[in-house]
Amino acid sequence: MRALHIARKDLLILFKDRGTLVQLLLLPLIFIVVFSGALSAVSAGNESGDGQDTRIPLAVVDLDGSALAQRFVADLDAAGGVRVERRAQDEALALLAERKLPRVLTIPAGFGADLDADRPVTLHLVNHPDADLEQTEAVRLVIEGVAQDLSLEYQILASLEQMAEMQANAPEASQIFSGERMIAQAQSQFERSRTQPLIAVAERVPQIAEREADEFPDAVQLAVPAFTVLFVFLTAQTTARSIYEEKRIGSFRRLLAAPLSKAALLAGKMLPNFVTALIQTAVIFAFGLVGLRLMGLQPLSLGESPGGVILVAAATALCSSGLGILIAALARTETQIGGLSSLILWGAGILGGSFVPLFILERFLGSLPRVVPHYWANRAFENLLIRGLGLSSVTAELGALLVFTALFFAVGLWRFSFD
Amino acid sequence: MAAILDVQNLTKKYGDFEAVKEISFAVEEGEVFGLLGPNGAGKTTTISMLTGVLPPTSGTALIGGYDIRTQMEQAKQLNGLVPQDLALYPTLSARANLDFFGRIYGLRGRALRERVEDVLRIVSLTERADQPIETFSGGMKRRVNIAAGLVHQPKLLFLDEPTVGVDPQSRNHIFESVQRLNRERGMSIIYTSHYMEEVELLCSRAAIIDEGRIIAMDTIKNLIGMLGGGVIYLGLPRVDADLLAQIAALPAVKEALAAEPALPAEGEPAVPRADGAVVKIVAEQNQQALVNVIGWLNAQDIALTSLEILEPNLESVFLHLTGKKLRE
Amino acid sequence: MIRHTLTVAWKEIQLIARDRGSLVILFLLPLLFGTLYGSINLHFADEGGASSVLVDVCLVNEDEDVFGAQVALALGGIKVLSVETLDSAAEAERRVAEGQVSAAIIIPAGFTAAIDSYTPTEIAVIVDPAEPESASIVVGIMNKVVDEATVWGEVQYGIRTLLDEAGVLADAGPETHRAIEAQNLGVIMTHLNEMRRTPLVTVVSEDLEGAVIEGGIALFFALLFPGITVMFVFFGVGMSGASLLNERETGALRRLLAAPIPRGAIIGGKMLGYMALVCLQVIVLFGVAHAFFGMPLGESPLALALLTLLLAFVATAMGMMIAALSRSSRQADSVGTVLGFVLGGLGGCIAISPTPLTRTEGFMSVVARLTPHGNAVDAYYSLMAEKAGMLQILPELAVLLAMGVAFFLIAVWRFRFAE
Repeated sequence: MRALHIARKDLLILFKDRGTLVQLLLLPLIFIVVFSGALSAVSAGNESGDGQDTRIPLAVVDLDGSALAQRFVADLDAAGGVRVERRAQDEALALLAERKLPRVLTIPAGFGADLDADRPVTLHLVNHPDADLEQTEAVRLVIEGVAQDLSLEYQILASLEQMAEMQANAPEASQIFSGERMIAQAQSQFERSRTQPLIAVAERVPQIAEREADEFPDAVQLAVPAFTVLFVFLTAQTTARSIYEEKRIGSFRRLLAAPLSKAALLAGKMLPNFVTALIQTAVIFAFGLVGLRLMGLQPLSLGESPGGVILVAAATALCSSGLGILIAALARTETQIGGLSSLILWGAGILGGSFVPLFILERFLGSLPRVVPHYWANRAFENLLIRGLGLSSVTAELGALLVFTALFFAVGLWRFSFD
Repeated sequence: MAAILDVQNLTKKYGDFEAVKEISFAVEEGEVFGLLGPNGAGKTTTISMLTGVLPPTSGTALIGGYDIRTQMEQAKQLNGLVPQDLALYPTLSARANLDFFGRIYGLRGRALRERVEDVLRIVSLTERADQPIETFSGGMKRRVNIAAGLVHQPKLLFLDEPTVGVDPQSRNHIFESVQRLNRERGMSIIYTSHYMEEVELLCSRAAIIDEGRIIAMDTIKNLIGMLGGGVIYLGLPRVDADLLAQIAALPAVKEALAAEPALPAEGEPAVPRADGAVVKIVAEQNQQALVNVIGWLNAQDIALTSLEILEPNLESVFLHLTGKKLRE
Repeated sequence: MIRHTLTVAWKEIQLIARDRGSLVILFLLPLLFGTLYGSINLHFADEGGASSVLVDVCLVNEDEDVFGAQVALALGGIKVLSVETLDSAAEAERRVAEGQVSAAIIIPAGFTAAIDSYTPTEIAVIVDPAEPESASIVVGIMNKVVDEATVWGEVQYGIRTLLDEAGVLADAGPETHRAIEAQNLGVIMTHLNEMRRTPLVTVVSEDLEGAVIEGGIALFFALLFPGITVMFVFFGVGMSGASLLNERETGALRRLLAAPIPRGAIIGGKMLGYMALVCLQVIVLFGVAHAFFGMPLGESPLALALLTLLLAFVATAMGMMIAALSRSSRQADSVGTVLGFVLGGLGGCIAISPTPLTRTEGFMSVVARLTPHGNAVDAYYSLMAEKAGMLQILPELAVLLAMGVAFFLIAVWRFRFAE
């Protein structure tokens, strides 16, 4: 088939072009690592992986010293997220002024006594102006959480006491609800609930086939297929350029003079793009499987239906090729190829969910993302790779991609100026 | 008339390699001077040095009296360059390009506008002036190239291989422009090329350059005259001094010399003749000499093994001088 | 010299204006990114106005008793959730698996019975792995709802235990039991809820003068937008380098060299043109961020302007350096693009955490400090989020200046004007 020869020639030219190869293969990998590797590194740093203590240190000044205050400070340390450093007041304030400490929490004198008397208490978290604002907020939330638990305990006890007083006025049950008994009961329950809550919330992913229900995909996993889609479609620009270049050198005319129908000629031009896109996909996915593991990150999962993955990859590659023909047909000069295709391809990439997750886009934009092929490709990969569904779940997406391909090719063929 | 350009032992070395070896020549004001030589002879390097693009290794040149080593700035104002490449900004319009270069040469305001319009008219590009150059045909690109070299009204215009890759119609247009510029505006022109017909047509004098050196310089007429009326190479079974003398005595023959075989045609290996030789005949008039010589050879019953005729033109002069062809 | 520089600069601006593709990449894309990320973050941060962010969940209530109903009722009243009640847990799980809903909440059979008997129980929340943000929202809501039910359950148990212990109701029938329990429970809970309106312990975050600190999404924008802007500014780097090499390749540079213009003006003019481009990028992007997202611009416009100029200088100088070290304009373009991404990522241009990368702990922050991007983003954040003045960002300004000068010197040393 003559189309194959054209394809072969184009591929040879392409693989000699190191600049383009970098853009096709290296750039997506860099994208993935930069965009989401950074994310993973940051979030992994925040979780206590490797036994490293990544809690935010917090200087605490206890001006009260009561058992309750000490218990509060201990609870704070145990809550996770904050590491308590007990300090004396003068020392803490001095260090704070010198910015050696970002913030100091002060437990006022009378803390225990006030709480026992049901009087409200305010804890002051004082921050240095240079302190990280989001850290400040995070610390405040942790303290607030522990404070709320404490509040609740006391308020429960208080309401029990109230009830006791009420009961005490009724003649029958004067001894049952003695103060000490109630407190003892309440406290035993508080203790128990700390280790095992009465009602827990169990979070999991749907059980499908043999997937381990504990593995949540992280940002990097979500990024791999999304960026693959983006860059496979960007290859269309390369195809459009190569057609333009061929026209410019004049070899296109030579091809036209050969016994080859116009459709076959264009189909031949689609083939290198198709092969290139498949290679791209393979390289990027290989990186996802192997490279990520080497970097210490969670590797990409290929889901339960590798056949489905291959089909979607092929459909996406085909669609990208059709798009390349369309761009070549519509652009009149080389600068137009750069401008027009950049706009279309990057814009479609953003719209179609390669940067922002689809479900968020759909909340904001409704059905708008459906007009771009990226949406369908991303959705298909999402179903197969992230949700672990089977081939049958992506029939609609495959169909959409094929329709787009046919549309691009038809319009491209119609509008292509062969001279 | 004063010399607008006086080149004195100009040399350019790249490490050990000498691209241009002590070139000297002078161009009178109002002349069209040709620099003829094959690709790689050093024409462009010479032009680059004269226009200030490359610094000379040694030697100097005076342009309008300004020494290019010390007063290049002033010399540049007198120079106009029409390089081989388009050397403009394809996404900008012809007018924008000319405007830019005009400003670089110090033109402003109304003077700039007038010069740009003038120059567009000279090259007949006024209607397409506001379209991006990338949409121009090859010939039009060449014309705007010329326009860019003229916008600041230079005294000395350097045209570097202006017709390479240009269609015949545009080529003629270029020739007309050169002639008109010279005739009507008295512009001095240095025209480099490896096409001898152009140099013969346009130039009054020319220097022939090969491998960085000038190997001949004179009026066109005199250069061609080096070959007399032409040169004929005859392959004969045997050559000796006596035979040469007899051939030389024939009418319309100027000289007869023993010579190496003419350069074989492209791609064919040189055939050493063990038992034959070549006579090089410089004729006073090619056709007449040929008739006479062949008639004589027939009468002597001497067989002819090969025959090559070189018309009197610069190409032949080049071949005569170097044994090489001008064009590969 | 100045005139020549300006003439060349104007030429550059004209060239840039004609390059549609690059304009799209340098202006439109960052605008798209910024507005998209900005809008999304705005919505997620502003819980009051999150009514447009509806998370679809399925609810299966297999408990046919009080507590199950209580949880179901609570869920129905939450604005952010759009709840559909189903009968079958398997169906709900299937819908999540296929991505039709974001989560499924399964209240198990015997939920109330377990609470009544004080046996720990759990509610399952099945989440769609492709929607991590939705998952965390749903789980967060469930935790709150469950806390409510837990309090009821605990108090109820407490009362029951005490009543049983007292043996007061040993003779009474089960309805009497229930009635008295319920009565007490009601009383306590009413009191408790009354009390919970005013927490016993509050935490207040203050600065050194005692003024309360607000957190703020606006501050995050002061990191997000500079990050995106700086990254896209540096994409222009490849452009400027490629443009210079392109001039050399086409011979336009040669024509310039033959003209009476100093070489410094040729390079300087190009740099000036591209610096103007960078300044325009910053103005446009920050302008949009300020107008539409309330991104603060800080208190020192002079410092902001100086920082922007230095940023422009570093970026264009880097472009010239790349031109000097590259062999062709295509190579310069690719190198510039790749460097743009890599350094952008390393410098922390992708704002994941709310703190500039340069200020975090660890190896990454050291690396970030070595990039011009990192320094620029840090300085912008200081100026805009932390209301710093010129003095505070002097170190970053100095680093940028030094880098710019270094790049420029290398460019001058290595660039060959004519082959």
